[in-house]
Amino acid sequence: MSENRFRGVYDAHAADLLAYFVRRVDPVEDAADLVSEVFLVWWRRRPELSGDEERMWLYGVARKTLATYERGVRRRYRLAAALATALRNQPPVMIEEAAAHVTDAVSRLPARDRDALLLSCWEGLTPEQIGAVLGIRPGAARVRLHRARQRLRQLLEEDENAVMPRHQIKGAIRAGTTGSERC
Amino acid sequence: MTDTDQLLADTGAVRAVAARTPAVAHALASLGDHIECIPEPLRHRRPRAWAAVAVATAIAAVAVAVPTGAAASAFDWASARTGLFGRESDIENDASEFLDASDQGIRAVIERHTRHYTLPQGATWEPAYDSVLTDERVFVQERLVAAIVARTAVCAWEREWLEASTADAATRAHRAADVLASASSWPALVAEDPTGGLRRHLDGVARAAAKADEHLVRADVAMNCAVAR
Repeated sequence: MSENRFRGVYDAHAADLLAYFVRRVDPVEDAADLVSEVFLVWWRRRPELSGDEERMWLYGVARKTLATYERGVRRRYRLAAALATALRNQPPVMIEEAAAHVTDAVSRLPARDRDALLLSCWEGLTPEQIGAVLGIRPGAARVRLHRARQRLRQLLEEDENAVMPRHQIKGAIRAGTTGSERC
Repeated sequence: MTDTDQLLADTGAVRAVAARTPAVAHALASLGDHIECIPEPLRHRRPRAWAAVAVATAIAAVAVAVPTGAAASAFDWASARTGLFGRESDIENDASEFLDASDQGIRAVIERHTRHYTLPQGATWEPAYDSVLTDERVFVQERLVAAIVARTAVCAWEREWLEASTADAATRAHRAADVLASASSWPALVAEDPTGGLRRHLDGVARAAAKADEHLVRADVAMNCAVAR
């Protein structure tokens, strides 16, 4: 029963979690070890969750795993070697200059705000779901999203060396004031 | 969606493309195949009293006795090898290779560990074989096999002590109590009990036996010997 359940959970969420890490780590092949870590945690603890709760639980573990990784703790899993190789062999990702400028500004946000914003923009989570992942109430998640946009706007405004086209900078700054429910 | 949001989302989407290619998808599926084979059996096959125990010191004392005279196993343990290894950082695992407990080759591993102990007259190692061998494909590490064998010996001597006490057989009871007093230093159990919780528990059982207090001995048999009869 457990194996079947694991397979169901893994098949439903592994690709999304891999994408979660691929978007956030460099070198990209480290995502293989991180996704392994998340599912090994699930496998050992086997939380009695289902549906959306399970997905949010996995993102919560992913977030903590990423935090550990960012503190310099690197674990290597032999099991993930093939996946790491497959990721390493992908063509390099080209990010447009304007997008790179925004992501650079995002990287300078406080971690809590950045987490909320990226869970919204990259994982497409709702404030309720973000709250579940971060362990805060939905209202608090909305506040963080709003605050993240405000701070991002400030950072973009302050960046005198911006290389973005002027109309995109204006658009980005405007984003901080208008705010989007979706992202 | 605003311009900034769109730029951010696009960036994430571009990066995530690397996670959607057929080669990556295939490797990801294989990873799932491997993960589902590993930690689960270790947790399920660990007797209850050991599951909560964690870390501590290592003691290098040798277990009770000498070879039991058992014939060498006809099974080749190599057939149980999996090529998968654990991680040192896991509490449940060490870095040794996982063995397939559904393969008859695991019998040779069990048999090898039984040679470190002697059992009371009439007792057998069957509980150890029953505890380790499975019909399903389950992976275990040798450290756990060794601990199951050792725990089987403890259970056998606890039962021996209870029977001897009931029968008023003082010599048998003393012998059993002596064996139980040494159990907490058996390397196989020490290795499985890094925090020392199991050792303290076994010492408590041994003290109870030495004081002719059946309560704790019976409690341990009831709690921890359900599998290792």
